[in-house]
Amino acid sequence: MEIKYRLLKVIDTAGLSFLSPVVRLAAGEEPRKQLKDIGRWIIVPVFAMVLFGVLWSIIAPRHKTKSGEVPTPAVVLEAWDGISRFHDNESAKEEGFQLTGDSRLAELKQAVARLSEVESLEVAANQRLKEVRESTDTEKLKIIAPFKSAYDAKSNEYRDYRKSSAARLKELGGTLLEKGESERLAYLADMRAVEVKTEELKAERDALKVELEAAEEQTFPDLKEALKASTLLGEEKQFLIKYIDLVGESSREFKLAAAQETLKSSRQEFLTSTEGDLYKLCGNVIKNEKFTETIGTSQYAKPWTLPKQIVRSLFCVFTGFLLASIIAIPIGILCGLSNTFMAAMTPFIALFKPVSPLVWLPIVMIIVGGFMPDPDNHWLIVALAKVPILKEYKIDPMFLSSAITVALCSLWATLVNTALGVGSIDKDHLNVARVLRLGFFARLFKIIIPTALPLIFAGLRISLGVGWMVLVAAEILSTSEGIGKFVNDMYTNGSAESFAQIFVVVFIVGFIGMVLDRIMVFLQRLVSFDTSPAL
Amino acid sequence: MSEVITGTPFLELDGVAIGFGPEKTRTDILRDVNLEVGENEFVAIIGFSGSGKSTLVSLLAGLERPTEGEVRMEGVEVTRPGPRRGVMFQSYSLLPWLSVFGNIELAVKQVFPSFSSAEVRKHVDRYIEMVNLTDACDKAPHELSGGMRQRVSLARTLAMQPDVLLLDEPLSALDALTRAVLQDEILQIWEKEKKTVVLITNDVDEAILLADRIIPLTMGPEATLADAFPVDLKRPRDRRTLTDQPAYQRLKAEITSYLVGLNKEARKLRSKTLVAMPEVKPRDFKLPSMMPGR
Repeated sequence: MEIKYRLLKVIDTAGLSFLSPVVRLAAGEEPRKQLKDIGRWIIVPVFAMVLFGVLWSIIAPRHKTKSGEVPTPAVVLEAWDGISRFHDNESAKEEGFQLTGDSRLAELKQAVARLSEVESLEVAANQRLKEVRESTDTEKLKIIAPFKSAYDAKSNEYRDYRKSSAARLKELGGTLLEKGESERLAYLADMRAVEVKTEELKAERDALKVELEAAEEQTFPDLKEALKASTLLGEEKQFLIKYIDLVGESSREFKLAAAQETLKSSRQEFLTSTEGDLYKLCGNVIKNEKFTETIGTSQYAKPWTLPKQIVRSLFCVFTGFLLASIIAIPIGILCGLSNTFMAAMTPFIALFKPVSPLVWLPIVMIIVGGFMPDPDNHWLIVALAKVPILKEYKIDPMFLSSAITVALCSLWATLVNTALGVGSIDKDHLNVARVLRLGFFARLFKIIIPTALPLIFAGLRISLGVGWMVLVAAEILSTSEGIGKFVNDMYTNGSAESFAQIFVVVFIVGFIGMVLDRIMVFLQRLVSFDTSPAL
Repeated sequence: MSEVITGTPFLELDGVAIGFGPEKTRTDILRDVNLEVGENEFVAIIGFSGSGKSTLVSLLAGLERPTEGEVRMEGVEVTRPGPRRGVMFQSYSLLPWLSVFGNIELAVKQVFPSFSSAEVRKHVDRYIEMVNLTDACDKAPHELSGGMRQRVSLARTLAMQPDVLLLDEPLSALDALTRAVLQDEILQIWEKEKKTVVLITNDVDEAILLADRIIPLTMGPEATLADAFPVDLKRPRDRRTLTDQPAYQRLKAEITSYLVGLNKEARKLRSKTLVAMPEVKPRDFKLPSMMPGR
């Protein structure tokens, strides 16, 4: 029983109260009621999600765009696989490049073995692809044949009719010179009729063409499967070739050994030479020393994968969020304490709160750009580039602009809520403070801020949600690295696969936003002294 | 005044009036209030709700300044609140994010800044024990019953070791049984500690049980203090034997009939000057529940 109540409390604090009927049921408490609650809060949402997936699978393939079909859930899952495969491969390359000694050799051996395996598999897959393609080609021809012959016939009919009518009318026109008005009017009517008939035939031909194209587009699951298998193996082969190179002759250890060898021989030459240009030889030694050092610290130039973009976006949103909190909480407290200050701030809050991030961003970019005419040598960028983890995420003026935009858009919720929290302090509590003769700071930290804390956290929660929403837009517009950049790249790329990858991003962004929100709810619960539910 | 106090009164209201609104159209809540409380005297002020009892406490505490007249303590004018006049509020006014210990500790640390942390702990524990809350020492206020919360409030006020205790209807939000228990506790503590006390109440029994003197407050607006009823019952008092005494019954009848008379008078007054009530709505931020089990 003790465990049950502790579990329920944890679940409640974490904001996962849909799990509480499961715990209660496991403890054997009112099974009927718990089953009903499970039905409502777990089965119904799952059912709704499944229904959504089914509808999506049905509706999506019916909509064709210039980037191909709207992806179905299955295609989106495949895109997700592709994204994570790319990330895994790049991470493996990065690690492989740095391997040394026996582990490097073992890895190399393994990769070579795998490569030969993959190569033989690929041959088999290509063979299979060829067979399937041949069989489907004949099948396809069979399916298409009636459509094609109908189209060809109609097309010929159209062309023949147009040609023959034109010839006939031209000839008839030649004889019309000596004829009177009635004949000429009959000729006009004739030509009109020919025109109408030509249009009709053309429309019929076009209709048949659409049918033919639809038949040609028909896909064959077998072919798709074989194509996919072959592509995947090809991809793996490419990766392995590159990987073997990186673990083998292009690995850091290998290159470093070569550089050290060169350095050694140049030293030897300089120290023992009796006739050469010693100035030049000594310069060589210095040059080789520098080169060796560079090799020793070199890294594999890993491209930006989606996980890395996500982490950068998270850094960016938290930077903006921190900035917003640092500005909004003190100002909010001042607003709550002083009606005069509140009156002074009201027009700004009312005026700037509705401004879109898309308006703030250019302004911020111009201002940040103004402060950093030479960003690579600006002290802030240089300082940030030395922070251990942060330095891998390319902190540039665009990062700062996006973060400041996030702050500008998200600080209002915290500001207003803080002011409300401080303003709604219980008068009796203030009377206690007066009787005790608490000083200003004791009153602020012992009475006012603790009272306002739940509302401050409610504001912070809204701010973080707004910030996360604003961030992706800011990143797209500023072409800063991050999730926004990924979406922008996929959009510009415009292939069917990247269309599906944008869908993947939708779910990732939504999921991360949900997790951030839950974390804030959890923190809000921790600082709340009353037991009222926060949602 | 039916009782003559010799020397300077300990706590004194001298021709006090308090009102709201601009000077010309001012509405007085209290007018021409005179009160003298002697040292270690227990005075009960009794009146109907809305007659301005809480305002009277605010004036005595220094939380509000009178529009006319003066509030004096030991002959010196009271201009601001301070720990020498400990107030116990009707609404407990405990800080909800602090434990029982934390609430009292906050007051003790502020009033006795020279205490070491061990002294603070000892001092706080002593008063928690005095109100029988040692077991609930680390609980948060929302985990306590109304009676326990008011005990914490009492302990906090006593721990400040004030010269005057101002009790603003401390027990009126409690049920009858809890109230009786707390009355007995207050009585015991007072008989041991002997402090100057001004108790605001609307309960005649409570006033007779605890006080040396009972002063009715007439109906507001423009309420004032009426003549005092001295309570000459022997101390220590015991609620079980007290009610059997003819003196008790006589006093209760007198005070009750006086108060009932006040009420009738006030009704007559009120029918002529109907005061418009402010439109007040509860402020509630709670959203409708969207999760199970709520």
